[in-house]
Order: sequence, then C-alpha cells, then structure tokens
Amino acid sequence: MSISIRDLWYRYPGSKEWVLRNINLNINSGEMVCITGPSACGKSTLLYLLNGIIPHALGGEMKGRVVVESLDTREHDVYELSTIVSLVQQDPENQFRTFTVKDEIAFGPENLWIPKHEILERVEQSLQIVNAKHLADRTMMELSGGEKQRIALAAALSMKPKILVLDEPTSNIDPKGAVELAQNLRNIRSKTNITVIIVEHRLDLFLWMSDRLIIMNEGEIVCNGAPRSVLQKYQGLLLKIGVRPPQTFELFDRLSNLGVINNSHYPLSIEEIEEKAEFFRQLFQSDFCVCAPVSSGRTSEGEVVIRVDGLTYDYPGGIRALDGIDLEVRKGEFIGIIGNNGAGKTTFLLHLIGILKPKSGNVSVLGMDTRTTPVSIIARRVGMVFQYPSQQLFEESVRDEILFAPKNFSIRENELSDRFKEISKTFDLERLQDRYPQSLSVGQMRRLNLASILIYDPDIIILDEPFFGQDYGHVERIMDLLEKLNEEGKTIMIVSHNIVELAEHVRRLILFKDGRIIEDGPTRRVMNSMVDKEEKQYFCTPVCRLSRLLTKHAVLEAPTTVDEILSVLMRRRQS
Amino acid sequence: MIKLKYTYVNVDSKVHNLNPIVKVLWITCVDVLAILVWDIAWLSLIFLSVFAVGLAANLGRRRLLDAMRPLKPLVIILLFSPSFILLPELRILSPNPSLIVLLVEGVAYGVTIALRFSCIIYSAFIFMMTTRLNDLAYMLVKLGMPYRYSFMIITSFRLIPSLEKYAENIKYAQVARGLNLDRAGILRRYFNFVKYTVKPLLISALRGSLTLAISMDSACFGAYRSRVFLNDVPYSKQDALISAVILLIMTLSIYIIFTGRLPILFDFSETIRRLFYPSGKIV
Repeated sequence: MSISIRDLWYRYPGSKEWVLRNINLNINSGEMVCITGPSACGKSTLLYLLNGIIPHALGGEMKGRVVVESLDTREHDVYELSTIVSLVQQDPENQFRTFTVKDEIAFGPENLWIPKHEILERVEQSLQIVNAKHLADRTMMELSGGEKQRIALAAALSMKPKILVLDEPTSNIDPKGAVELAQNLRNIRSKTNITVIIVEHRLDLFLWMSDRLIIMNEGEIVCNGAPRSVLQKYQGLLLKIGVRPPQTFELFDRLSNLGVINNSHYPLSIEEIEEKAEFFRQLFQSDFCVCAPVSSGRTSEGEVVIRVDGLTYDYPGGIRALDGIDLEVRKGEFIGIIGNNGAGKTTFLLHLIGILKPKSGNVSVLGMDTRTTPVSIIARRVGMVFQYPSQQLFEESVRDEILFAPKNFSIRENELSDRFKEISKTFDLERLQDRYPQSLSVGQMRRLNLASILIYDPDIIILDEPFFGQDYGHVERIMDLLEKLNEEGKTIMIVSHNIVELAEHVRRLILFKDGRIIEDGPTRRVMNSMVDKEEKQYFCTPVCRLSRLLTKHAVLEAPTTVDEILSVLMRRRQS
Repeated sequence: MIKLKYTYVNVDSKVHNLNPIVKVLWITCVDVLAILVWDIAWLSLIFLSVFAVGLAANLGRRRLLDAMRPLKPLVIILLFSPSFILLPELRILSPNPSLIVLLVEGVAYGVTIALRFSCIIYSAFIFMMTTRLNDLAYMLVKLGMPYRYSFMIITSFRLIPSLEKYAENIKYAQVARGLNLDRAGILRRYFNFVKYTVKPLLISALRGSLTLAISMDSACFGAYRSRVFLNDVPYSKQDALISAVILLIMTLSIYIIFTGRLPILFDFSETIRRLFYPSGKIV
C-alpha cells in the first residue's frame, strides 16, 4: 500500500469549517489516481496532507491518520516525506526556487547531499523523461508556461520519489503545453513504478491513463472507482456538482442514450479513439455523416466597433510582441481568442483598452483612437477582466468591490440597484457581500472580477482567461450570462485555453501565433481548418478531431461540439 | 505575456563571467562613491560608468535604456522635493535670503540626491541582469555564510521579477476600472497608493511566497546543516585582479574625498547664481 488515509478531518488555522471530512482512502503502489471536484472542495488540501506540508508547515487541526509508504505524516517532518512524495503545484511562476533550468532540477538533490556526479545524472534523466533536454541551458524566465510546468515535473522527478503529486498542473498553461505534460506523465508511467496522484479539472487529458477517478465535494469523497464506471454511474451527480466528463465520453453516452450505439466502453479521450480508429469507423457505419450546415462566414452584420490596422508593438529589450495585426470587430460579435502562452494575446487586449500604445499602426475602439484617448474614457465603454483574480481586487468588501468602477466613473449607486442585485445573484455573490474580497476562493474571486465590470454595463466586454479556477457549473453560468449579453448587442472577446467551451459558445475564433493572427473566421470553420495541422490541432475539440477521423478528407463545416455532431446524426437518420 | 526587465539576461560577456563577489565589490564601490560625492559632474560620471559596464555586459543599449524607466518617477520626486520640503531648513542654513537662490539650492540638492539614488539602483539592476544568483549564494556560503541565509538573499532577488509583474498587473487593472491615482491631491494620492497598490501587491507577494515556501520545503530545503552546490564558481586570477583594482579605486577615492582633494568639476548652485546675478550682487 502506497498511501493509507483513515478517518481524516482537517481545518485551517482560525477556521471553524472542516475543509476535509471523514476521508478514508487507500492508494496502491504504481497506481495513477485522478482527483476532481468543484472549486474549493478540498482537493489541494488533500495533496498537502500527503507530503506533510499539512500539518507541519500550514498548521491547522487534523484528526485521523495519513500514512505514506509506512510513514505517519504527523510523526515525520516535511523533509523526510519529501524524499517519498514530490509535489508539482499549479502556479508555474511562483514555485521556482532558482533562476536556471539546471539549478532548478538540481535544487532538491543538492539539499539531500547527493554526490555531484549523481545530481548531474538525475538532472539528465529527469530532463529526458519530460523531453526537455533542449531547455537545459535556459533561464526560467525564457520558458513558456507549459515548459515551466515540465521543468517543475523534472525537478520533482529528480528527487526520485515513490509518489508524484500534481495540483492542477495544466490550469495556467496552453493546450499544447497541457498535451505535452500529459505525454510526459504517460512516459513516467511507462518507465517507472511511481504512484501518480493528479488533481485536475481537465479530465480529457489524464483520465484515459488513470486507474482510478476520485470525485470530491464539500470536503468529502463522493465517488471512487474505475474512471469509466464512475462517470457512467454518477454522471447526473457529477454535472450537478460541477464536474464535466471528457467530451468524447459525453458524446458516446448521449449516443448510447439515443440508441445509436450499443457499446458501454466509452472512450475517455481522442487518443483512445485514435488507437481504435477502425473500430469506431465501423461503429458509426455509413449512416454517419459529419457535414454540418454551411455557415455564412460572417458572424455579425453590425457596425465596426474595433478597427486595428498594422498594429506593431515591441517588449522592452526590442522583442517583437505584436507584428502587423489587422482586425475588424463588428458590434454584437462573440469572439474567442486562442494561442500558445506568449503568442501576444494579452498584449493585444491591452491595446484595445489603450493601456498599451501601438509602436506603429492604429487602434480605434468605438471610434476612439486609443493613442490619443485617455484610458479612463475608453474603459467606461470597454470592460476588461485580467488574468490574475487577486491582483484586481482593491476594496474592503465584495459590495464595495462591485461598486468600485462605477464610483470611479461617477455613476450614482441608486442607478445601479437593480443591476447590482441581478449581478450578485448571477455570480453567486449575494451571501458574500460583506466578505473581504482577498479572502475568497479563487473561483469566487474570478466571479467577483466579472461582476465588477459587468455592473457598469460596458459596450464591449473583454475577458482574459475568465474560466481560471472555475468548475464546470460556474463556467456554464458565466457563458450563459455572456450569451445573454451578446444577444442584447454586447460585443464580447474571450481569451481562453478552454477550447471545448469556446467551441460551444463563440461564433468567431482567432488564433494568435508569434504576435500575428494566423487564423480568423467562424469557429467551426477555423477549427476544422486546423485539425490536420500538427502544430494547431491542439486547438481543436475532441469532437472536431473525431469528425476528421471519420472522414476521408477534411470538411470545413464538420461538427466541433457534441450538440452539433448529434444534430447532424439525428437529421441524417430522420431523412 | 509581459517581458520583465530585471532578471538574469542569458548572454555571454566578460561581465557575466566575473565571479559574483567581484560584482558585489563593484556595487559596493559604486554605492560608497555615490554616497560620498556631492559634485553633480562626478555623480554623472559614476552613473555613466555604470551604464558603460552594462554595455560591456552585452545587455544592449535599448534594454539598458528601458531599465532606466522606473528611475523616472523617483528622479522627478527627488528633484523637486527638497525645494519645497527643505526650504525652511535651507533658509536657516543658507546665509543668502533670496528665495530664488534658495530654490535653486533646493533643486541642486535634489539633482544630487536623484543622481545618487539612480547610481545605486541602476548598478543593482545591472548586477541582477548579469549574475546567476545561485552562484552568488554559493560564493556567500564559501565565504562562511550559512546557506539558509544566503538563500534568503536569493529569494528576495527571486521575488523582484514577480513583484514587478504583480505591480504591472495591478496598475493595468486599476486604470481599466477607471481609477486614476494621479488625479487627487498629494495626501489622497498617498492614501490611494497604499490602499489600491501596496495592499494588493503585498497580498499577492504573500501568496507567491507561500507557494515558493511550499516548493522549497517539498525539496527538503533546510533538512541538513549544509548542502551540495552543483556549480563550482571559480575565483580566477582575473577576478582577483579586478577586485584589487576596484578596492584600490574605492580606497583612493575615499582618501581623496576625505582629504578634500577632489576637484569640483561643476558647481551647480554657483553657476545658477551667476546666471541670475551676473553682477555678483544678490538682493
């Protein structure tokens, strides 16, 4: 037995509420366990208990026992447990202790008094396992988010742990980085007998290689078992608490409910489908056609609200961040912006609100030249939510935080009372009105960020990674609200790595690469145009890739969402 | 992605290859001279010498000029503060009752202070851009400092780029929600700065530090009295020679300054005084 947890209860110092309640869990050596659940359900806390960070470093009240490789975590210090359990955290920026890749990977073994030649061997091996030998001589600042997480993984492996623990490792990285991280984990599993425990919201990446899926809710384990059986048995409950199964699973489950297929071995990822491509082709037979209705190519007929001509911008040090961007956005468009970390997405958004000024070219927003119009004038009509939730909270209470921008824009409070109630309700903030914003969970902070800009009813809404730290339930609520606002005529632009959500909601998709726009058009068409290109297929949904797998030639209007593929199929069957 | 200014720049140069101790000596020399010298011309020369070291380090003129940007508000504040804040003291100290002359004295004092701080801060930037801090920690340990303390220094440097990034994010979020910190009076501006910038910055820094602390604990940091350092940082003959030259310059300069033999290259106050009162008579 690798890990044994008995009757575990835990609460943080100064808190009355138990974060973990009556946890009983056994994990065997070499197992890979995926833990998921809604935001703030105690997943990360459970991980901190495994390497002794709780109770030794973070304190709090703990009842019950946690035994890791025969060591009781209460009786053994963090440094003893750290040789057994290695942790990769979700924040790729702050978990680094040094400045260069080699130093970072060597940091743990150096502390353990390992001889130099062995440290070098470990550095080499760890880099090889995560396919990052080419990064060995870089500084940490030169790496993308995905590369940083791979180095964090390599640093964890250099400790030669028996248990590897990962806390939402993909939450801050782009789809390509996430896929590479998943491949690294698969590599680790095939080459070692390390027990892997991963906390994740993005089940499609890791579930197919996991032996077990554990679902947590409100500090308790509510389901525990083989991934497929847990998803099949408890799907209703999962959706209710905010856990979304992988898209491929969702599709096959609905096909089965409709009586189209009669197979209970639902695939958990596109990789599983690719491995058994022929089987799935036969399963769908000839009555499956992937052509969806042809879209017009235009996503809105409204007036132009954003016009960008030849926008170029350089970072300090002369590195080109944006390189000749041309773009027109019409009133009422609902746009998704995708691209790898460092592609220039955020820098581009900062130009739309006038915070950054173009080096060359022009940016006009709602008829205002961003070079000459003060940011405060543009900001009144363009609401922007930034990436990091806690760095955009300034007031003492949730209520004041929501009213912060209206106060700055000299909007009277009594003009907003109805809207205030509606916004508070939509974002689940009614009960939290008097709470200190910085004391909220990441998910709650994110909702507060959104509420704080929607309150003053801007014409254009720009959101940079709005789903960060959100479970499926809240993501859906946010998207439903944005859909509603879009129907009312608001122009919406979202930067996100959550391709599945974007495919389901946005009408136009823009792909950034190296400071340029390399794809732009209706969502379905853009996604299908990328599906055959190796570097771009990370930005396609599993359904899009499945559709491609089932056809001989790429079809630009092939479905990209579960609803689309089902409607095509049903229409075909009816005719 | 916003590119940060004050982190190690991975290029090859003679300055990069110097032992960190030599660079610490250089910073000390710059700081000592900047504090002791009052002549604006000498201070400008020290600042130029720091810039020249940056150029020798292959950091690029553009990066070096960009790195000066944060000095701007500091220089502006320091330049004019003495004229207003210290005016009563200057009036007592100066035998000259003319308000204009006193104001000029204030500005001259402000320029000196601004140049002094610029030398100190800018040399620290260049140090950070040319030194791998693990090497510095190693050298400090070699010199007898317990490794926990040397890493404490590293960690403080390690957090600078993060703080820089947080501060930028906070500033962007403020202006995007209509907050203009410059619109209010001085007291209000100060209050707003603490409330809307310092507080979220501090909270973000604490959050980041917690992640870093967990990360260090998880890698057995502090488990033993000492630790292994993978990279050996040699102290070469060239390092010894440059250290000796720096020490010599510092000692000689201190001697010249304290014995009053340092020539005045540019007397700012006197020049302005002559400009206003060419006859030499002050009303």
